[in-house]
Amino acid sequence: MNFTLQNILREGWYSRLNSALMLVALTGAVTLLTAVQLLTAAAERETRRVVRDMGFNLRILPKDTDPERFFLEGYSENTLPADTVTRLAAGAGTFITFNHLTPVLERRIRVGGHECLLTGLGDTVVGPGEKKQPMGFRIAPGTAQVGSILAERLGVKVGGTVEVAGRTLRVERVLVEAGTDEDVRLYTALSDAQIALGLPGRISEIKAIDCLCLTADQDPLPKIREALSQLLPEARVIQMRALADARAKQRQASERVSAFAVPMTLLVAAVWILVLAILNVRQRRVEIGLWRALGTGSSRIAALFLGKAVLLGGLGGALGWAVGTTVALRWGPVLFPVTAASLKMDPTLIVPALTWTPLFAAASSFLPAMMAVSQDPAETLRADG
Amino acid sequence: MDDAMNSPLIEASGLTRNYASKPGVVAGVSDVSLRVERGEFVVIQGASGSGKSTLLLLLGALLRAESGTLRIDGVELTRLNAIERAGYRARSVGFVFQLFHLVPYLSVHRNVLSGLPPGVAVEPTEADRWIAALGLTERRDANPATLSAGERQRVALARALVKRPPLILADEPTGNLDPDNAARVLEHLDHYRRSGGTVVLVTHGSDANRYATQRLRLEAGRWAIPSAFTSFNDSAS
Repeated sequence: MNFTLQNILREGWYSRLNSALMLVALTGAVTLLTAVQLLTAAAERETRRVVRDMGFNLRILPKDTDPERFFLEGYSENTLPADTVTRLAAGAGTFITFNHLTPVLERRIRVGGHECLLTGLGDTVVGPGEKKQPMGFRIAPGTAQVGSILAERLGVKVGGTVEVAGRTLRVERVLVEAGTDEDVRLYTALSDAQIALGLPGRISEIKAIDCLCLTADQDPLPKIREALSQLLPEARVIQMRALADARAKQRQASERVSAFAVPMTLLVAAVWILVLAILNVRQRRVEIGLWRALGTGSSRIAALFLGKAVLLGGLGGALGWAVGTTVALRWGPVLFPVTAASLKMDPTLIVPALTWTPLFAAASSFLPAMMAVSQDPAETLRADG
Repeated sequence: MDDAMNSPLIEASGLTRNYASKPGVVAGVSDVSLRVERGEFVVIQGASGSGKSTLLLLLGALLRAESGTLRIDGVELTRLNAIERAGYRARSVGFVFQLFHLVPYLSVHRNVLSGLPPGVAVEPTEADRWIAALGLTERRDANPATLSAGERQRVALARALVKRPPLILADEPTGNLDPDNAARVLEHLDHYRRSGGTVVLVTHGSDANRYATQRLRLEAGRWAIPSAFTSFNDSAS
C-alpha cells in the first residue's frame, strides 16, 4: 500500500477524536442534504396533492363568453371545438405556463325533476415526459359521479343508475359533502355530456393549473393572458386568484426552505471541517517539521491532509446518504401523510454523495493543508530542540 | 570523483542568519566559517541561545543563510531552491533531535522506514538490520509512546542511519537521556563516523568531547575563540 495512504490511515486512527468529529460534520451535512432532497420532493408531491384537492385555478373560456353571465351561471354558455385542448397542448411553451389541461362541458339541466349542474370531464393532458398524475378524476363513459345533495334528492347510491337526457348512467361514486356547488353536480364523461346536451365535439372551457407559481403581489395574470393570446387567440382566461395564490405561496415556501437549508448546511459543515483541519495541522506541527527534515516535499505533505479529507469525505458521503435516507423514510411519512407511500429510497443520490463530499471536504481542508505546506520546519524543530 | 571525495565535506564561510526568537531578542549566527573533513566527529558547544541549533539547521538546509557560502558534499546550499533543498536533505542528511521527534502513529519499524527518501527502494531487511544493530528487535512493532527515552533516541538514530547519509546532524541527542543511554547513543554515532560517515553534534554538555575530532564553541552566534579550535584526529583520540 502507498506509504502516504498508510500514514493517512494510521494518523486518522491515532487522531480518532479529530477524525470522528470531521466525519460527523461530513455525515451530518450529507444526511441533511439527502433528507432535504427526499423531503423536498415529498413536499412537492404533497403540495401537488393538496392543490389537486383544491382544484384547478385557471379557466380557459371561449373569448366571446359574457363575464356577467359566466359568473352568474358558473359556466360559459359559449363553446369551443373539443380539439382546442390538443392544439393548446401542442403549442410551443404551453407547459411553461399551463398544465393539467382538462376539457370540460358544463350546463344546467334537470335530472329526475331536480335542477343540477352537468359537468362532462375529458381526459387530462399533462406536459410531455411528465409522470404527474392528472388532476381531478377520470370518469369512464357510461358512468357518473353524483354530488352529495343531488344524490340525496335523487335517492341514488353507488351501483344505482341515473337517467340523463334519456341515457342511463351507472353511479360510480357519491361524492362527500363539499360545501360548494359540487354538492349539486353530476359528473359524467365528456362524451356522455356532449351527447346528453346535443353538443357533439364541443367543450365550454378548459380547466388548467397555473405553472408560473407567482403570488398575487407578483401579478401573474398579465403574463398568463399574454401566453394564452399567443397560443389560443380565440380564448380568454380567468384566474381563480385565491387558489392560485395559495398554491404559489406553498410552493415558494418549500423552495425557500431548500434555498436556506442547503447553503446553510454547507457553510456550517465547511467551517466545522476548516476548524478541525486547522487544529489537526497545529497538533502536527512537529511531525510536519520532521517530514520536512526527512526531505519530504510539499506535495506529499499536502497529500497527508487533503488525502485524509478525501477519505473521510467518501466515508461521510456514504454514511450520510444512508442516514439521510433512513431519516427521510422514518419521519417523512409523519410530515407528509397524504403522499407517505410515495417516499422511497433514491439510490441515484449516492453518486453525488460519493463524488461531491470528498471534493467538498478537500476544498474545506485546502487552507489548512496550505498552512502545513508553508510552515517553517526550522521554527518548530528549533523551538522544540 | 576522487577530487570530490578528497575535498572537505563541509565548507562554510561568513554564514549569517538572524531571527527574532523573543520580542526584542535577536538570535542566530553571524559571520561563522567552518571546515569539516569527511570522517570527522565535530562537537559544537555553547549555551542556550548561542546559535548552535541555528547553525545545525543551516547545515541541514532547513534554514537559508542571509549571507555567506555553504558547500556540503560539493553542493552549494545557498543556491538551492526549496525542492532541491528537500532533495538534499532526503539524500545527504540524517537528523537526530533532542526530543526524538518520532511519528507517534507509526511503529518503531515504520518510523525507521520513514527515514528513507521517497521512492528509494532498499532491501526490506535494511530497516530490521538497523533495528537489530541498535538493540530494538524486541520493540520492532511497538508504538513510540511505549518506549523509554533511550529506546526512542535509538529509533531516531536508526531512522537517520537507514539511508546511510554522508552527514549526521545531531541536536543535543543526549540531552534527555541518562548517562548509560547517552553513552550508548554516542557510541553508535562514533561507530558510524568510524565507518566513513561524518557527524556534527551540538550540545551544551561535555559528554561528547571524548569522541570529537574537532571541538568548537559558539557564543552569541560567533565562534568563541576562533584561533583556539581544538582539532583531533583518530590517532590523537
